[in-house]
Amino acid sequence: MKKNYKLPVILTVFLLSFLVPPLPYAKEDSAKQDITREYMIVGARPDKLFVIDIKARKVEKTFTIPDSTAPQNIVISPDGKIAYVVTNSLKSIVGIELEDGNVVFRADLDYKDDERTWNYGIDLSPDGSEIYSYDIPTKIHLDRFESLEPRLSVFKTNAGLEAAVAREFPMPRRIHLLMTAKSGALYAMGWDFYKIDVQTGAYEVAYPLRHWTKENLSQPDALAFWPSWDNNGIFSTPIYYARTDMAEDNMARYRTGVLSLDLKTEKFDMIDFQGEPEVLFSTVYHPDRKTAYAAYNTLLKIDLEKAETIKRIDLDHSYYQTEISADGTEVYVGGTACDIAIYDSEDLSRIGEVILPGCPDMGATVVRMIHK
Amino acid sequence: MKHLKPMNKKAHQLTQSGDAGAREEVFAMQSIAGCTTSVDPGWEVDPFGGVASLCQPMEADLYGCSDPCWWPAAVPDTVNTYPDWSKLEDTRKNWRKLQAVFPED
Repeated sequence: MKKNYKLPVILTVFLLSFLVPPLPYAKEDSAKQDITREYMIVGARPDKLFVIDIKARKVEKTFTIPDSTAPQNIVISPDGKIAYVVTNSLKSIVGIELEDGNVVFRADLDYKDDERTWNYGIDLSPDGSEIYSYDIPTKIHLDRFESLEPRLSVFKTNAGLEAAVAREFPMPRRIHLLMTAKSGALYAMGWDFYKIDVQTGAYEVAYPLRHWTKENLSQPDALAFWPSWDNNGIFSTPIYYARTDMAEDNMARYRTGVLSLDLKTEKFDMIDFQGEPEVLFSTVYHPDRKTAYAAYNTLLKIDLEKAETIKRIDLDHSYYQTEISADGTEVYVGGTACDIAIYDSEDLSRIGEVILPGCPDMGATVVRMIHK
Repeated sequence: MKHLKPMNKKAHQLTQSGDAGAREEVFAMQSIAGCTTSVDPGWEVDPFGGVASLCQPMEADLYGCSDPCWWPAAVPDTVNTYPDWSKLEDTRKNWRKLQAVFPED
């Protein structure tokens, strides 16, 4: 008689399926969940760095930055593991591991004799191997300050706790924000928008601002210190100018636009969206790039296709930076005081907040978004 | 500048630089590491001549402006001369604890 092996085998497999978890699938699901978990990285005075599980409204980790006063700009390594913080009254860059707070990098920017140096712009190469720092050195004499030539200092991120400059190049004055495109080209916003070759130091005007020649528009003005491209791949900032063909007592003469640079295509755009006299400090594009948000004392929702403000609410207090979640559902405003306020991106209703432990002021520190 | 009269040495130098066509070189807020050379007065009026677009409340703007030396006339130079002046948390609650500073001997 032929023995039927199929039934026991099927039964065994069926029973084992309860005993042995389907590991490959469980791992994949877990990985997917981790990837979609979004964290906000923010500094605060005098020496704090916070990792916030923003969807949970929870400060997950608090690190103390050694020898720090007033953390300002922050950039995150491409793998999301290290935060490079400009601190120590703008004269040092400190690299901190976001898992355990280990300090793995430090560069003091006044690396030449008799200098007092400020950083006014920082970003990383796309592979995370180099840091670009826009430095403003000053020689302090007994009776006067001598303004020295600004420079781009390039550091290797694996250079340790006493990082020496790897390359340095003279730069134009008045730059205050650096951003690296996907191609590796470095862009710098100042009185004009420059494109910089980080290997040779050569630079060119990529988009004229102070020197633009737009018909019937005055010279522009902008206060662009905030990175807002983590979840949308596009730099944006409010920009102000006047319509010189309109009467001076006509308040519609004073215009507000959104200037943007797509960090993938490296294309600039400027959208004029309102004429009301209103100060805005920062903007952020929705990931779908059909709307943008701007903040300072008010929070605005801007329709980029119609080029108009479609909603405006008053904020509880001034905030410097506007950010958005990767899924585009939540808008965050931060900087200034010790709270991150959270708004629904559709109707701008307030849906949450995160208070930093101890309520330390953020001041001009920036907000960055990462995913694990 | 015809409606403004220089009152101190720095203001005279600014006027002279304007006459020499070099005023843009004097607008050096981002060119000097220290607060004493900034020319931004702070705390007066917004770009439209009112106060609605100033930071609200003032305390929210305190460190964002004093750390990069935007308010040289209103707060001490925390970069070079008084680095310990501003070690205060939650300024919206504790602003009364901010102290005046005086030249040291």
